[in-house]
Amino acid sequence: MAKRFSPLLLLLFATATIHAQTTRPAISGTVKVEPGKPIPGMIVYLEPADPSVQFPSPTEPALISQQGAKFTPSLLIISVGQRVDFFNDENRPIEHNVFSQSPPKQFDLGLWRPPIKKSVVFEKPGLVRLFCSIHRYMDGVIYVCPTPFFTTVSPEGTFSISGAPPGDYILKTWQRTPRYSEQSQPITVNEGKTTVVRLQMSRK
Amino acid sequence: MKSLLLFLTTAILSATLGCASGVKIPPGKSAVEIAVRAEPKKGYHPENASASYVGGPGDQVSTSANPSGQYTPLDYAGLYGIVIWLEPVTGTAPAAAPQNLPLASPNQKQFDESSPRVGTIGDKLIILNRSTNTDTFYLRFDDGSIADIGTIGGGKSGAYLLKRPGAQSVVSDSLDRPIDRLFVTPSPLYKITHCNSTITFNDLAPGDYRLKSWHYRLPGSTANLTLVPNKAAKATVVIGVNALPKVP
Repeated sequence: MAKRFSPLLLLLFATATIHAQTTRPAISGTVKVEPGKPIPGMIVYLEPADPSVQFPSPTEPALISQQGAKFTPSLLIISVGQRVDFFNDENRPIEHNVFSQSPPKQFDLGLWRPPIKKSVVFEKPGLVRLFCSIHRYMDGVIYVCPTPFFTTVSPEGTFSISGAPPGDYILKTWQRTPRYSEQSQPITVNEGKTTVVRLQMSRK
Repeated sequence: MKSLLLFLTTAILSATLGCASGVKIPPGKSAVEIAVRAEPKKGYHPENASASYVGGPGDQVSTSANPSGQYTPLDYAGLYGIVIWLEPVTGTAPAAAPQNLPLASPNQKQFDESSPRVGTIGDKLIILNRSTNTDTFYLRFDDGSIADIGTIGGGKSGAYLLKRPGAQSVVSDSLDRPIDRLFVTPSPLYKITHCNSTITFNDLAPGDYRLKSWHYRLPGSTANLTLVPNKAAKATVVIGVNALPKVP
């Protein structure tokens, strides 16, 4: 009996999941800067208004390549609790190291040669600067968002975030090379509604 | 007479103690000699790895910021731009006369990230806006925050009092690249040095200090020092990653 209904149950489950994803509340927003200035490379993310609220971390690890003595991508945005695999994918037997002395995660991954991956889980949000202790010009950045709800802002200054459950949040900005003070704005996500946000970036 | 004799004896003893390590210490003051060394990653064998490899076909094209190719190794024996400072654990360090840190925008040469300008809180950044247009300047701190310096007319200079310690870039609205890099120490008791050097602070008030260091890329060790009158303490600062927490 159970076997007979399994495909149907699966179909119902899949439909319910798709429905949940498509009807989940979304945030849509715009970012404005001074007239005539370009939108800086930036992300926006949600932080729960109640710090005790936690969301499951993505189970899929992020990957950073070390080929060519470069961290690729040179900027990686992840969610708190997410694992990052550092892959020494050089095509020569070149040793690499990864370390950081940034407050959210201080670590030293040791030395290793290709084709091996070493992993780090980032448990705290914030900016993590990566370096190799061997190669002078090898550096990168990981920005660890407090939730999985983040997105990049388009060059036109628009963004949208989906998947966040209803509730109270603080929407925050982060610029890789800041030109403006970071913005922080309380917002409420309501079931089935799109929350519209307008951010004005300024120096003060 | 007795007190004069005691004073002279103390003074002679102090001078002797001070000279014993080659450090001249003003009477009643303290000193510290700090050896600075850099330590490559333990287990690293440059002869077997990429140290001699300085780029080749297919490597990223060298830029002015990366003059010798992606695989250029960090030269631990020639590490420079190391900032060493002392923070009194109790009280504050004596205020030093504020220094002026002059810079011009646009900067005629590419700044060297590994050798930033160094100052302390209370020093003055003097910016000459060489362009003919008014420009707005600000500081970009390594933690991602910014501080507004203000607007300076074309051909004019402006001053800004340094208020926050740490590594920071001087940036302007009109330029894509930072104009210069600064490292601001929280204490005026600082020196800039290179590895395999020994530096001396010899006019310190006796007491407890925290010894700290900064290098643009590598972490450095810290130490607690207790300095007693008329004596020179010794300390070592090690620059390198070996003390960082290991990830299995």
